[in-house]
This record gives sequence, C-alpha cells and structure tokens, in this order.
Amino acid sequence: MTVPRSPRDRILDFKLTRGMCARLGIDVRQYRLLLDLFAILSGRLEFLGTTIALKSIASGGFVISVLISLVAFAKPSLQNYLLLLLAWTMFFLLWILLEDASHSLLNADEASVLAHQPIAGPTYIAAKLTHLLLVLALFVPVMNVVPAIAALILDGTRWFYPLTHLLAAYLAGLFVAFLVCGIYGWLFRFVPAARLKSAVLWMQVLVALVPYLSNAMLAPVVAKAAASPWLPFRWFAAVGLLGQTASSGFPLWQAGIAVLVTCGLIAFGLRGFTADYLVRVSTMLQGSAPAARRISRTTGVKMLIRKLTGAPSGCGAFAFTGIMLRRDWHFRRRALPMILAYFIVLVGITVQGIKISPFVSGGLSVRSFSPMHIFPACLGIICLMPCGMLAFTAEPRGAWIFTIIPFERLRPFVRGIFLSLWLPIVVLTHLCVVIPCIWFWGAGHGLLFVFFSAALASLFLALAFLLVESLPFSSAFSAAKAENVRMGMILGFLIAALFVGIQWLVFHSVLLVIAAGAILLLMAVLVARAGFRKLEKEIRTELKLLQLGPQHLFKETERMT
Amino acid sequence: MSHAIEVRDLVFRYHLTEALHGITFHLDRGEVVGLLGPNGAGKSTTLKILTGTLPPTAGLASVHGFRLPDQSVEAKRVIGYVPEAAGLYESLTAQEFLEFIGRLREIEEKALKQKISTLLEVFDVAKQRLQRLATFSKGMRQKVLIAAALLHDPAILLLDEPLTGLDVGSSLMIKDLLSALAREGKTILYSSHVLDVVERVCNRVLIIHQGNLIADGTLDSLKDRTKGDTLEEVFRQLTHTTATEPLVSRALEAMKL
Repeated sequence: MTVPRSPRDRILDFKLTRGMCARLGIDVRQYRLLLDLFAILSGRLEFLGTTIALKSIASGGFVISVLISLVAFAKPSLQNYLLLLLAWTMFFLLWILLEDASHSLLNADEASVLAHQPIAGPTYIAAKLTHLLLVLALFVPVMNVVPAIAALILDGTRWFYPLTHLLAAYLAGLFVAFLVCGIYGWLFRFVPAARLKSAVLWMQVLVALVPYLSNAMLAPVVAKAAASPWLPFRWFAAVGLLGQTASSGFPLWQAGIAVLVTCGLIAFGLRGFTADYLVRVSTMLQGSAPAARRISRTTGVKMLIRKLTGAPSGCGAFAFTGIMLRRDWHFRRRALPMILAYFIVLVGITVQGIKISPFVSGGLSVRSFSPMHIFPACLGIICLMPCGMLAFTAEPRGAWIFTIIPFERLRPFVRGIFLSLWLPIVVLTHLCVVIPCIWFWGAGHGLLFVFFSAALASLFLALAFLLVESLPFSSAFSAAKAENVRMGMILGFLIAALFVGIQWLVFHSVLLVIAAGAILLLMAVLVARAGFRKLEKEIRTELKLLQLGPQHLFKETERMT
Repeated sequence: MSHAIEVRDLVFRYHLTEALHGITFHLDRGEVVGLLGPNGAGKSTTLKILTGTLPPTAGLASVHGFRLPDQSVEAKRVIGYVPEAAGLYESLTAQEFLEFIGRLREIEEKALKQKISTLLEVFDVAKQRLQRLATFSKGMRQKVLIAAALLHDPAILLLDEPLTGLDVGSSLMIKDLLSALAREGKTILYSSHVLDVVERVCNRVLIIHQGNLIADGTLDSLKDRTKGDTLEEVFRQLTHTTATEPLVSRALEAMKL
C-alpha cells in the first residue's frame, strides 16, 4: 500500500527543488524533519505566546481591516485606498514578524538541543523561514480579503481588482518577511551574541512606539513618504493597480533602483545566517553581557520596605519583583514596549498640560478641560500592564524557589510585590511632577493635584493588582490567562475613561478635590487589602501544587489548556 | 593516521574573559580520558568546542580528522554528546524525541525503533516512553539524553557530567557501559567532578585549571609526579585546593550571622 504524499513532499521531490536546495546547502530530508517537528511543537504549544497570540492577533487584525474597508464608502481614489491598506498590512506584519522571528530565530533553548546535532545552518534557517512564510500565509488574506472586495464599490475599479490587490499584499508581505530576516541577519553579523536579545528587544520597542509617535512626530514624514516612489509600499501599489484605470503615477526607474538597493541589503543580511547560525544562537546561553556595576544605595529603601511590609520576606519579594521586571525576557518583550509607550504619552500630556491648570474656575465647558485631567488615568493604565503580565515568565521552572516562603509570612510577601510596583510607578512619577505642578499652578493647587492623582493612581494599581493570579514570574503564558488579562485591560480602559470625566467635574471645587482624593485613597487601601487577601490565597494554593512536583503541575497545565 | 581528538593552542574568549588560554592535548582512538578541573575551569567550554557548539577564538580543534568549526557538521556525525545542562523539547515524548534524533542521524526506521526500545528498557524508562519529557525527573531526562547520544553508535563520546541526577543502579550501569564501550574501541572524553568514577573508568586524565591544562597523563604517572596515593590527592595538589577547614568554619560563621 502506498501512502499518499503531501503537496509539500511533492514540491520537495521536484528535481528543480532538490537542485536548488543542494545549491543552497539545504538537506531536504532534515528540512522535512524540522518542519514536522515545528508543526508538532506548535500544535502542542511549545511556542507558548506565539501560536496562541498569533491566532488572537489575526482575529484582531481582521476586525481592524473590516473597519478600514468602511473607508471605501467615503469614495476615496483607488490608489489612496490601496496605499492605505498596503501601509497598514506592511506595518502590522512588520510588528508581528519582528516578534515571531525573534522567537523563531533567536531561540537559544532550541539551539541548545540542536546545536550538537549534525544539522547544517542553511537547513535550519530554511525550516525557520518556512515557518515565517506560513505566518504570512495566515495574515495576508485575513487582513486583505474584505477590504479588497469592498474596493469594488470605488469608481473605476474593475472586477479582477481583489486578485491584484491580494497579489500586491502578498508581495508586500513577502518583502516584509525578507526584510525582517535581513534585519536579524544584520544584527547577527554585527551584534555580539550575548547582546542580540537586548538589541532585538529595543528594535521591537521602537516599532511598537511608532503608532504612538506617528501623530506628533512622524506625521510630516509619513505624509512625505506616502508620495515617494522610493518607499516599498508604493512599488506594491503599482502591482495592485495593474489593469485598473488608476495608475501608480511614479517613474518606474526610481522604484527599480530602490528595489535593487533594498534587495542587496536584505541579501547581505540573510547571508549573516551562515553555517554557524545554530552555534551563534546557542552561544547566547553561554553567558550574558556583564551587568553594569551599581553602587548600592538602597539600604534606606530596604529598611523602609522592611518596615512597610513587616517581614524580611516582604523585602525579598520587593527586590525579586523589581529585578525581574527589569530582566525577565518575557516581561520585557510583552509588557515593556507598551509601558514605555504610555510613559511617552504621559510625558506628552505633562508637557502639553502643565501650563493649563486642571483646576477650573468657571462653569463646565470643553475649554476648561486640561490634558492633566488625563494624567492620573493614564498612569492607572500603566499600572494595568505590569499587573496583567506579572505572573508570566519565560522560565517558569524557577518557581520552585517560592516553596521556601513560610506560609505564615505570605502577607508581607504579597505586600512586597505590591510595593515593587507602587513605589516606582506611583510614588516616583509623582515626585517627578510635583515641582513643575507647584511651579506652574502654585503650591496649593500643585500639591492638591499630586495628592488626588497619587490617590487615583494607587486605586488603579490596587484594582489592577486583583488581576495578579499567582506568584510573580512563575507561570508560562497561556491562552486562557491571556484572555483574562485582555478582558481586565479593556475594563481598565473603560474605568479610566470614566475617571477622566469624574476628575474634570470634581476639579471645579478645591473642597471636592480634597474630599474625592481622601475617598479615593481610602478605596485604594481597601481594594489593595482585598487584593492582598486574594493573592495570598492563590499563592497558598500554587505553593501546594509546586510542592507536589513538576508532574502534577504539568497535568494541571494540560487541564487548563 | 590522525588522532581521534586533537586540540592545539586552543583559546576561547567570551566578552573580555578568556576561558581557555591555549590548551593542547590529543586523544587516540580507543582511549578513555577523564577531564577534571574545578568549577569554571573550562571543561564544559572545551567539550562544547569539540562538539561544534562553540566556535574557538583561536587554535586548532579537530574531531575524527574533521576540523572545527569548518567541518562541524561532519564532526557532529561521529560524536555522541551528553551535555551538562539537559536541553530537551519538553512537549515531545521520550519516544518522539529519540525518533527525531535518530532520523536526523539517518538511522534506518526499523533499526531505530529497535534501538529506542532496547535503550529505553535498559535505562528503565520504557514505561514512560509515551509521556512528555516535561513530566520527567532530572535523572530520567539524563537517561534520555544518554540514550540520544548512543543511538547512532558514535565513534567518539563526549560526556559532560553524565551521571548527574542518576540513581545508584543507573550510575553503576553507565560506568560498566563506559568500560564496555572502551573495550569496543570507542574514544571517550569524560568530564566529571566525581573522581572515583574517573579513576575507575579512565586510563588517562587531563586536569584543567583556570583555563590552562595543568596535567596530562596516566593515573600512575600523575601519582608519581605528585606523590599522591589517590586521584583526589593528585587533584588537590595540582589545583592548589587548600585545606577545607578554614572555609567550612567561615561558612558556619556566616550562617549564624
């Protein structure tokens, strides 16, 4: 009996494919084995946080693309409509692939398993690139099918436009995929192995910041770029407009030069993934860059934390959480870009709003609204992110360390976790703004605003703390937990919007501000205590599970997923 | 004919730290050599270079005549390596993991199934063969790693603390297995802190200290050189390991602070 061959195997069995693979140094047999392995691992969620997130991100991308397709009803020109969609597709894919590729191409754990096996670098890279192309195959249609069909209502659009649109989107996506790999190749060439992860992280942070910066700083650049033939999405627009009455309207020779130069740069980058690729990635495990020496100036803070939490375990929790917030790779990748982005927004709000006092002397009107009314709520949203991500880590096996916490000392431990967030986010931020507030609005108003804002931000943090479900940095990221976090974030945004309105109303009277501030502070204390109780209970359960050993934990995880 | 393993003036630098300062040694075919040294001496780094997992900064390293890192894929084909820290795909079962490794190493399917079945039985993990590796204890993982290293009947075995986490019975079995492999003419480089195993299994010892090779010879020649009766005494003298009493009393004092 013969087993039917899959389309993939048929393609790989072509003489031409085999010849090409041989020329590129790809061992077809090992390539197949690796593809099968990656498929099994994806199915079994080895790539936690990638496979799961990709599906939910794809559904988010679909919703946004449907919303964008509504633009078609405003009857823009086909060219502008296509440019908008290509720009959106390319940016979105850049964001997704940068993250996915970092997980795929810089997976030091995987390299440690495979580095001593006889696998040539090109074979491994080819398997990884195929994985990225599969991601592309998922995202491009999800983001473009509805808008492409919606474009048929635009003037001068011919019936086959959806096909050329999808072709253009696929080419653009392919370009982005190669660009991302090219960028990683450049990093591989020029960045020492131990610094690769950090370099990639900062690149991801920069890309994540683009939407937040675009209005204020990038708008003029983007407007100029949209008209330039030198930029990639204009080239693919020309493909999308093939056979349409609208034309791309730019000289092809410029695009040709741009394509050649970009391809050259990408090829140079891709050649960075040479035969020693697996070796380079596994070298990332060999050690990390030496940590900067710091002078210990925290004795006073430690004394304070010890006093506030009531036990050394509180101090331990404070130090541990603080360090992990800075160093945990999962947290840095998932939460840090968002936190930084919101801090930039916060700075923007302060710069714009500091000259307009939030204290309103006249009646209710839009003019009496100061950007500083958003400040406490924005800080509250910043509190949501670390709380939502606090339980997760890339190294959940380290969680055994918590089994040494005495059960009767859990409350100080939980307080220590809370303080590790409250001190830097709420206290430190307000210490930074107190002097400008006093300077511009006078001591009374300045101090009162800071009091109110700190109380509100503390309440937000206390509410967000309810989201923390287990020991900090102790669990692998899972779909179910990610969904809880997402729901918590949406709720948090709604509450934040509500509080902006309430604050605007309250700031018409100083007495009201004092009263509201006091109530908020009291609420913050009560909610925080409830959060401590809840977390303490959950940690108790988790510690019992941890003491039962990894086998039991694994079964628990399986049941949940 | 070339040596099974040849290392000449091998230097390895990481950031600003030089882990190996130009060590030189070789292993002939069929030799079983112990690699000793204190923590951080450079033993694992040497092994990783020989497995093609780390690129040497300078000097020559070759395995079975294949120069590293240029011919690392060829060298990896003849090496069986048990790493110090077990890297495994945790969501695969033991059977799947070994099948994957065997197929990478181009073992025929029929022979592969038989080999896996026998090795898992020998290492007493046959019952757990269909369980995911995430549920395995440290010792069981180690057994899977040893089985993975032996699957393709390698000519050269590089073992980095292979007995870590193993129970007494399994340790004894592995020691006997190594002796049998040596008799079969396999070349074995065995890195360990457990001196009695090295003393029992190996016919030659290399000692690395602070990135330098400070001793290379048979056990008897090293005992003669240092006037020590046991390998432990030889090791203490060569690595200038001081008397432990002052350190012990300092640790006790620190505990009581």
